[in-house]
Amino acid sequence: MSLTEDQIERYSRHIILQQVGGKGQENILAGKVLIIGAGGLGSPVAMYLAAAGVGTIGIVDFDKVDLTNLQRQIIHFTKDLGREKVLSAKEKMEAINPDVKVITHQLWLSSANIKELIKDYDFIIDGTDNFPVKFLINDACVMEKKPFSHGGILRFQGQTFTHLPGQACYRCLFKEPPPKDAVPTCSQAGILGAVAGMLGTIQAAEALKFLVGAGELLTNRLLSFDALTMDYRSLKFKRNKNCPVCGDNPSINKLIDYEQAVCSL
Amino acid sequence: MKQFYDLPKSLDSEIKEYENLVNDYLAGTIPAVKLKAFRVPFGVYEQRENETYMCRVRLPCGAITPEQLIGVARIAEKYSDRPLHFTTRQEVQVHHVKLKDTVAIIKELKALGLATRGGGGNTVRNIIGDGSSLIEPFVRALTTRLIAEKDSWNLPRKLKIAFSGDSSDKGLATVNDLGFIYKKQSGQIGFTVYIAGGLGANPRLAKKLYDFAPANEVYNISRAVKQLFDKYGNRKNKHVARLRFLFESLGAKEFTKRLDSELKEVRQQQYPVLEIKADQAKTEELTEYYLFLGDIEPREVIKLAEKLKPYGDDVLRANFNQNLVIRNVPAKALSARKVSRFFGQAVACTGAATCRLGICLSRELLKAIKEEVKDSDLDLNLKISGCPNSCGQHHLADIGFYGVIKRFNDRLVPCYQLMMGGVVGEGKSRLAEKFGVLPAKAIPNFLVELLAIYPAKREAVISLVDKYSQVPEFTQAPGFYYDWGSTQLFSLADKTEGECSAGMYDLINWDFTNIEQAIANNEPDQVVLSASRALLVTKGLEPKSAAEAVVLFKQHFIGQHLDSSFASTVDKYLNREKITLQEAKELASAVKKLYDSMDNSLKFPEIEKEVKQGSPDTKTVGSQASREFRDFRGIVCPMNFVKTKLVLETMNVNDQLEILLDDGEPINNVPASVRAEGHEIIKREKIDNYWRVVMEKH
Ligand code: HEM
Ligand code: SF4
Ligand SMILES: [Zn+2]
Repeated sequence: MSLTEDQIERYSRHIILQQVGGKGQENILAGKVLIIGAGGLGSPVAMYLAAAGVGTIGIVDFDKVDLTNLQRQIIHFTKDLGREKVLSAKEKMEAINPDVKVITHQLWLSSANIKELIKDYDFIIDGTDNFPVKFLINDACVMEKKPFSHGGILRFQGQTFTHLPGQACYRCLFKEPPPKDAVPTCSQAGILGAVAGMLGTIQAAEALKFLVGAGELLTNRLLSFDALTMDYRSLKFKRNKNCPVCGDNPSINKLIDYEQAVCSL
Repeated sequence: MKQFYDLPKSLDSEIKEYENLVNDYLAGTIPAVKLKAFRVPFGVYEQRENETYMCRVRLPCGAITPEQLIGVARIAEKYSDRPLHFTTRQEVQVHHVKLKDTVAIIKELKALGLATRGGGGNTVRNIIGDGSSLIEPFVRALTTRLIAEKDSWNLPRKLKIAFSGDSSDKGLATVNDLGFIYKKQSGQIGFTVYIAGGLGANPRLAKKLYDFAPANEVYNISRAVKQLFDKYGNRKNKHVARLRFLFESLGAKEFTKRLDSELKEVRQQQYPVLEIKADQAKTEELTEYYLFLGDIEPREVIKLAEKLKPYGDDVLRANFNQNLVIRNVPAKALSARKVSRFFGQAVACTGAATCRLGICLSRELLKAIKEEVKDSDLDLNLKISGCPNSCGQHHLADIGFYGVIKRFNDRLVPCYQLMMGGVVGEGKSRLAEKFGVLPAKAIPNFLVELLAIYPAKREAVISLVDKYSQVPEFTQAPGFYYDWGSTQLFSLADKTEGECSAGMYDLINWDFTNIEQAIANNEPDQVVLSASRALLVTKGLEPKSAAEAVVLFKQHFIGQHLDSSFASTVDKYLNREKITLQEAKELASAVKKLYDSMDNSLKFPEIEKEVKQGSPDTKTVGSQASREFRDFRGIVCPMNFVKTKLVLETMNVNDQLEILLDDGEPINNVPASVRAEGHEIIKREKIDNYWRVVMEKH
């Protein structure tokens, strides 16, 4: 693949970067990323990845846009109220960059469909905010050896790490989802809209670094921040030999559908 | 207020549309091309200086009332700091105005009963005439009718109509797309009709279409021609779009057949005949009011028009010599002009100073000639065009010139082609002939000698051309390499690669002529050089040396538009190895073939790349490090660095890349950025106003 004159111009600020260059941009253009959730996290991720020229972007969400979404889910506009989120997102991404092929998946993720869905992608973004799905994504990616970026936000806080095959996974940190109702969801607890943007853009940067092959990913490190104090911390953790999914003798060999407390950020 | 044609009812809404487009463009919400598509047919041209414009006002037969002229002059005073300009097509132009103001200008013109609509673009242009009162009523009525018709604004190319009152054809009916010459036959009024003539880079005399057509057919014929042109004209290739090319591609017989069937259809529609309001035929006294270069200060024109007012509305015409003609006013009522006949009649198009297609500064040449020749009362037509498009009508001149570029000693020199012997008249019209090329700087002195022996024999002219056609080495007489009125070395740099930059074709053809000569002289090196250089101009490349030409050619053509196997031929040239005539000829014929396949936006077809970049074949040719060359002049920061970086990425360690960069920011930034990425800058040197930088990949 070689860049067209338009592409050279459009992506010039990437190409200038020593760690990216023309080859890095070509990798981005050839890249395939799946964004799960077209909400608070998925919005900035989708927009930045589209702008960056990620060649194929899949986007998964079952919901339609409602008024409570618009405070943070910046890919959806007021005129989109009532519209399928994936279609609303696709329209904006294509408007940002016609180079990008957007594939929409309007469905509920479950153990029945997730493996099939992630199969064709190079990198997965977890932009959901409910524990059952986060575990489902983690387990499926570990089993299918797919890299992914985990992201979670609540009130003023966010946390994220990146999983690569063979490196620590979400279950190395947390054995299983907290009991249903033990943790407030965003609809109960609230979320500062900009925090979703802060975390989502970190996830987008991880995906791009992965595609380009530049720098150090957030593997084996949990980055967390509190926007109230603007403290950022990076907590080191390791792959757990006894992890039920990625450990030496995994006990989970089948995907599990935990009971869902519904919320989409 | 009296006016010579009626404005179409749609003008108001069209002006509104124009105003909206201008506002959108200025607000940055539409691209320039979108505005341009409307602006040019509206008679608003961009001048060479970016974002300055001129408005061309339609004056059928050059007719304008003193009151209207005062109005136009006041507009010029208000919005422009330049003189008014009268054109060879009997129009008046307000130059050097801001885009924003063109809307107000058009509105104010409308209040005067004048329009710019159809001043440019592919439209029915200003209808011209020789000033005879026999034809003028027809010109006005036809103008009124045609400008109200929507299909007059989107033709395949411009359509130029002309009328003459008698067979001397002072109205140029025999060199326009459609021409009418007044004729009375057995008491009936009518016209001899001519078709498919025209000046321009490929001029043609018109052919006689009807020996006699009754006056009530003037509209029908014009309408039929317009319809025929609209239907069958070539909309793809502007170079061969004028009516004369349709005539030639169909052949006379087929053309007439199709025209007849259009005419039949038009007659069936039973359009009303033109309303002819005859003039009181009384054009007794005619005084030509000479303007130098067609220019006149608003102040002067207002003074003149005030003086004419008492004599009525119908006392003024603009003529083909870019002069004013005053009629029915006693000459003694007018104060004498300082401009002599020779220079008053002399014509120069606007030229490269304001026209984007121009090659030479034609007006500056005429000024330089005036300096040298001083005054002359010779009744001669001197006509100068800045390029082969012949806006200065050099084909009709006794002595004409058009701007061309020639290469001497590997540099570009502004030159003019000398044209002599143009004649207009029914049955005797003849286009001027080429007499040879002269460097611009030699022309004034050449003319002093020529005028001294005028009318001269052909041989005398030719030997005089010989005497003045030499161009000294740059170091001996650098002045030859500068155009008149310019302090910059002559260059093609800011010439638009527009559809009409025929100077480019001239330059290309010159190289093909060189190729033939070199083949005849058995000089394979010269063949390769000319073949390499021929098409570089189409990409805006200007080599400063023979070797650079060949390097640029290799870079931009071989492997892209020409088979990579030709690389070995040009490498031999660069390495000074022996080239056989056979292989040189093969290269030359491939280049010729490529030129023939060039489209009208100067683009060439790309060849299929057999060898992908980065595959072992290209990387490991020989064990030597290879060297690439790119010209990044004219590319701003940081795109020049982006492109440099992309080339470096495709190269191997220790390969060298040579680039050309502009002075200023580019030379300050790019090498530093390259170095910051770990590569080595081996050489930086300044050439004229740009830089050559050689780097090695690390
Ligand atoms: C497609 C390229 C062009 C061609 C073939 C062309 C051809 C001509 C011709 C043959 C005339 C002589 C008048 C006549 O036909 O009776 C003319 C007049 C004129 N053209 Fe063009 N033209 C071209 C583009 C332009 C452009 C781009 C400009 C200026 C921006 C221009 C400005 C003029 C002016 C001002 C006149 C009147 C001459 C004068 O008195 O200054 N032309 N053109
Ligand atoms: S002759 Fe050439 S330079 Fe002169 S006005 Fe026409 S296009 Fe421009
Ligand atoms: Zn694990």
